[in-house]
Amino acid sequence: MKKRLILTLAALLALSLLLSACPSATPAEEAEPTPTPLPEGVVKVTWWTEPLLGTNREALLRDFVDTFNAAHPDIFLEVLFQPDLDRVTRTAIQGGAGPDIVQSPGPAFVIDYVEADHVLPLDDYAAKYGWNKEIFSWALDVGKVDGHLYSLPLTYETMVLWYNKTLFDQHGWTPPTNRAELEALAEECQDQGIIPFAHANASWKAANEWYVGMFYSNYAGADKVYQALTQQIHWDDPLFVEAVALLKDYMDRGWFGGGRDNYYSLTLTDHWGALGDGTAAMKMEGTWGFMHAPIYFEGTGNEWEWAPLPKLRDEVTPVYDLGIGSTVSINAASPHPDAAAEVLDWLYSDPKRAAQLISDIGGGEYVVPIPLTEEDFPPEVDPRFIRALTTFSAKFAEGDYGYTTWTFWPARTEQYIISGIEEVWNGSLTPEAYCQEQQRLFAADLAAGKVPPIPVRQGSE
Amino acid sequence: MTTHQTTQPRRRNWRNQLVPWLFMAPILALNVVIILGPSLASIYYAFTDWTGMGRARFIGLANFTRMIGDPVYRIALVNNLKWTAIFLTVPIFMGLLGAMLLAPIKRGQIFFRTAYFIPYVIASVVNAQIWRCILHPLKGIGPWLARQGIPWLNVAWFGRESTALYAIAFVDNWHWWGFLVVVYLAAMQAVDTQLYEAARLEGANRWQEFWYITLPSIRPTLVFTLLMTVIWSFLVFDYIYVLTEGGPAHASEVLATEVFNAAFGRFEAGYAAAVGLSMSLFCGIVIAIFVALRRRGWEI
Repeated sequence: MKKRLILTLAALLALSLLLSACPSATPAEEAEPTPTPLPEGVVKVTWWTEPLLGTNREALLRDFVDTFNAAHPDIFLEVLFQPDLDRVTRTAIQGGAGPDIVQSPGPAFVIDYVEADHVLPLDDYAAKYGWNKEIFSWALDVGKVDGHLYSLPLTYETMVLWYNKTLFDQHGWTPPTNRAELEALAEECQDQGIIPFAHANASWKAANEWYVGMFYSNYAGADKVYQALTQQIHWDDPLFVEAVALLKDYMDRGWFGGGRDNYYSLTLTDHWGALGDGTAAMKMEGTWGFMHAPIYFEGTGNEWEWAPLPKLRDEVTPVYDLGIGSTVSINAASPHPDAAAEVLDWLYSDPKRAAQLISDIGGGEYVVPIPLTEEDFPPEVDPRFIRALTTFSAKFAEGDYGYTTWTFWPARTEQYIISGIEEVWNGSLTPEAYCQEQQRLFAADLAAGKVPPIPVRQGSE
Repeated sequence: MTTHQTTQPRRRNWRNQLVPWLFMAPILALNVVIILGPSLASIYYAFTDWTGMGRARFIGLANFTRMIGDPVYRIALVNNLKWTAIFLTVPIFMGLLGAMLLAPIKRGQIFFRTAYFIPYVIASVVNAQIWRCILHPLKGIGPWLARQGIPWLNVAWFGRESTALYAIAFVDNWHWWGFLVVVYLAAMQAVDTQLYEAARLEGANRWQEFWYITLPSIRPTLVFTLLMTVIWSFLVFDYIYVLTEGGPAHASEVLATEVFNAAFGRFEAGYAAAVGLSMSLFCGIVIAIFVALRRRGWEI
């Protein structure tokens, strides 16, 4: 009896361990401290960043951390990969601790740190290292609070139309450039049993805001968005209401992920997989997709391609929306702020090193806002990626851009955009009511100083 | 002599009272730092506009008046009540039934107890992920059954507003009811077997044995699990967060996910503290009822 009990318990334990080894919903990558004892006179700079998987992690450590440490014998840079980075960092910083280099999800998130005196102004470092010559001016502008520079973009991005080129070629389709072409193509896809857009949010609920932002930019237009962000017009302007109504119409037609139920159920693996195997034709998503596309098209015999998003109203000029994936600042409690500034400078000071890192990571992250030319990239880099980066960075340099919600909207309004659109999609909220509530929240956040600086568009005032 | 004799017991008495406190001191200190301190801080922050960082500004009852008028709070509260109702009935019934059926089994009982207990010891994230795969709307059991000619189960359970909350409750119950079986079984095995023998001599059937002997005998265990079920139902978070994050369109929103969204999504830590305080209040009411019933002499 006792033996049987022990055997059963052992089986239970083994099964538990086996099941616990199954992949979880969120990759639980533990931080990796480097317990090297530091030689005399060497200072340590810590940087907590988001977890990177496999070769991307190796690329960051090899291309950035190792090169920095080799070039700076008096500084030891330690990068820790922190799951749930923003929450962990906020908690640590609030407690007077945290890393020397503070990474946040965007400029709007830095405002709280600035108000609580948790991050240092970077103006002197910018002057010392000549960042205003190295880094795009819009990138420095968005990091300013009350005229002082507090953060630098770690990565910038935009939204594009991804499509299965092989499927398009087979059917003689071309990427749509306007609403009529987009809708005709979506209907044809649906008639042939192909999902028009591989969209879903089960892995990332905030995906909702990508579509709201894109429809604002490509239906109302980037100028109107700029005017609303600066409150020259309001978010309940009829053009924004119509943009939301159009988004609801597309969802109602089942074009996103094959229907609302699937949209809420399918994960990143599902929707990128669907685009790769041709179950779906297109997807409107950010340039971080350069990391996903090669993975999900591999072995399918299909080829991926990207195109600019189509305009959704004739009067609108299509633009690339400017997005900042994350920012870096220096912790006010850091014992070595000068050494931390050296680390930041290492990110922006050499285009070839930056291009190498971007390429090795796959193109979607650590895209620092500095001018890069084709010659800066290693020869083996996918030309589709180089074409994308050089195209939209040139547009951004001219001030020709739109605005992404996660970069320029304050946190509370942004969260409402994400959750409220689901109520619009299920019909419990009208587009008008949705936009009115956005306006109410945005106005309150603006009055409270929670809106980050809005870089002026070319031709806007 | 008399003085000496009275001082000694007093000293011993004082020492006897002190020693247990000394043993408890470390855990008490830990509780003060980890539970009491943050709890008191939360009460304070519930009356402020704190963002989770920097200074907090006192705003009186503004968070509470907002909470009363907040439609998301109302949806979350109703969902918590639905969740409580589900977990006060379905797993309790299944647990009692399972224990009752398992109690007479002598051979292989360990196997069943172990099998029922396995889901309970697996991390909730893993359980949720397993069920996300099983109920996948394209590759799960639903589409497979549809291909076999049974289409009515081919539903995106977590993606549909009408089913999301119940689908999550199903998954949570899957891990929970087996635990209750083991708990109730342990309680049933402590019941005096002579009571059953006497009942059988009187001609009682299985149902009458259960109703008149088992249930009254395990009442303290049963009431305790009911009490904990109510409390845990107001605190439920993990399965909902992992499977739907409270969506779609707040269909599976509960108070704990709303606290999380307010504190870490919208950076309204003051409002989150107020919602958290209301959760504590609901749990406090349940505990007060439990204590009051005990004081009235209920054997629970």
